Amino acid sequence: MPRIDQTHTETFILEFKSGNVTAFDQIFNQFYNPLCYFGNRILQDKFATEDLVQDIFVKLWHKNEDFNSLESIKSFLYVSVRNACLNYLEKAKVKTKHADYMMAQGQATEETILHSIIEAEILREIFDTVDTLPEQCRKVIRMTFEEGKKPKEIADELGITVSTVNNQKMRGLGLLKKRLSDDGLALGIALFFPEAIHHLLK
Amino acid sequence: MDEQGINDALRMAGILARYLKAELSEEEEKELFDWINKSESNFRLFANIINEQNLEAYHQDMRSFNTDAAREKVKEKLGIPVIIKMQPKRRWYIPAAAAILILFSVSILFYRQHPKPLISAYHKTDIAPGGNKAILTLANGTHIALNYAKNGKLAVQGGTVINKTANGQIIYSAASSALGAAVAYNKITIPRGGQYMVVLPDGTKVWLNAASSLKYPTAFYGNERKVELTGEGYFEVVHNNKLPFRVVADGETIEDIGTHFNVNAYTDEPVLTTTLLEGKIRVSKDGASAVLVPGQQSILPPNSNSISVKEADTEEAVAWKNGYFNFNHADIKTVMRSLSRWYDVDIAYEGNVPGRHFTGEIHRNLNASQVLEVLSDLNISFRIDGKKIIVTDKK
Repeated sequence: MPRIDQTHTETFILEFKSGNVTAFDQIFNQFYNPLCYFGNRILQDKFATEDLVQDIFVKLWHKNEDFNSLESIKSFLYVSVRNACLNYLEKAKVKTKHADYMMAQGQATEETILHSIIEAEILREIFDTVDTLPEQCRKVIRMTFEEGKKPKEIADELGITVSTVNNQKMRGLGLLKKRLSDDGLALGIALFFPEAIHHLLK
Repeated sequence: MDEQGINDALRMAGILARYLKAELSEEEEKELFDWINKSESNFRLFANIINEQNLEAYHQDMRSFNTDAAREKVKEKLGIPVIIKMQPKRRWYIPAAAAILILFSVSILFYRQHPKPLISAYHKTDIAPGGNKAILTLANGTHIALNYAKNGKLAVQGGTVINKTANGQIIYSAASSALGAAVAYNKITIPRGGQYMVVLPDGTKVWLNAASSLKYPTAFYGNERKVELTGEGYFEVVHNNKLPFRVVADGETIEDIGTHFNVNAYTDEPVLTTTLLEGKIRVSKDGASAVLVPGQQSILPPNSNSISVKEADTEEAVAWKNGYFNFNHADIKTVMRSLSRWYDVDIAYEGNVPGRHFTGEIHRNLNASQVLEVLSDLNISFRIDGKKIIVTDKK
């Protein structure tokens, strides 16, 4: 699932502005889930949230020429989701007088909204970890743990030696280790790379 | 609330994420601490995100949305042609948190009938137990998430060096040059789901339970050693005739000279309880006081200074520090409050609050579902829903 290359955001913006579909895919893949997480915090309704967020991406596509930076796209997305959620709650409250919506609206204070945005974005950045490993590292880790390939297969496919494969694997695991706290180590590694746990328990 | 508020939030999110990845510049660190110190709710958010269990729970939430399907749906709406790529089959397993925790042995001292599983997707939605998490706030407002800090020297406060010696422990070593320096206070805050141990500048050891905090000076001198506690702490005080050690908790002062005692000052518990294991302490509030000898416990109701003393099971009072829950004819709400702090969950009651009482000991290092299984029986059932435990009276 392609993501935006953080080191070349200017290229990304140019492509996005010119209506490049891959650029749209990238921004969608990067922000859809965090935005749904955020919206659901407010609405407490996953189906309504997904519809709403999808509509905002439709709007985004139509406005693609208006954006000159990733920051401005991000801002547009979160502001739009927030507005759409609050409107939805207001309409739902009026239409159905359903207690759940009233409660959701009461809990959608400024603080809750801002904190939910912060959580969504932190999650996005932290759990993007795998995708921000150096490229060859990332490929080796993916192929080892996600595709279940053997070192020899990986070496052949990437055109490198088996010992390089092993080095990259250790390096990737080492980098992930550094980014997690004491308690998080076992939990985080096991959840990202369950087969890796025997490497780390050595 | 305007767009600027959201842009500020997006900025803080980036800074917080970089804090967790240890990629913050000094300027950003200062900006972060200023933001944390601005309000209680900012501090709470910070305490929330330094807890991996929370991040992982939220992450599960975030992953529950199907990105690929949504993207294709949107592109269909936009009339963008969809190219179908063949992906290699993913084998991406998420083991039960319990599988990792098989390292901890289960020792359950009372037998219960085991009903059917509490949660259908046991592997994905169970709640892991608490761990060594705490935030150390220095005198200048700097915050250190101790579970993210490396072992070794953390900071220097006046003439005192603070070292993290192991997961879950920090030690203050005061040099004699600390005397005469202006008094500086540090505070260690334990969020829900956390615990930590600090060795104070005089060698006194304090174990702090989940949802607690301790405020103390970085060097002890003058005519007393005074600390402020919220929540629960177990103290092993180093003897010093000239400098009595005093703990102030929710208006009550516990004074002793060289002793081991536990203070339970959670404000959501009905009374403030202090239990003495060794030595001698005086407990006082608003003019009233009582002296305890080992094996005794003082009980102080809220908004009152009427202190009563009784014999107590000291093992029960300090079980938490030894890694256990220990309940002695405890009602369900008391039990669930303990669980709520250690597992960092909210509790909801469906129907009547069950009138059952619980007695026994359970390891703390179990997943929530394992503890709840022990507590369930024909009349009470539990359900885990995200970060919430729902209690149902089946009668």
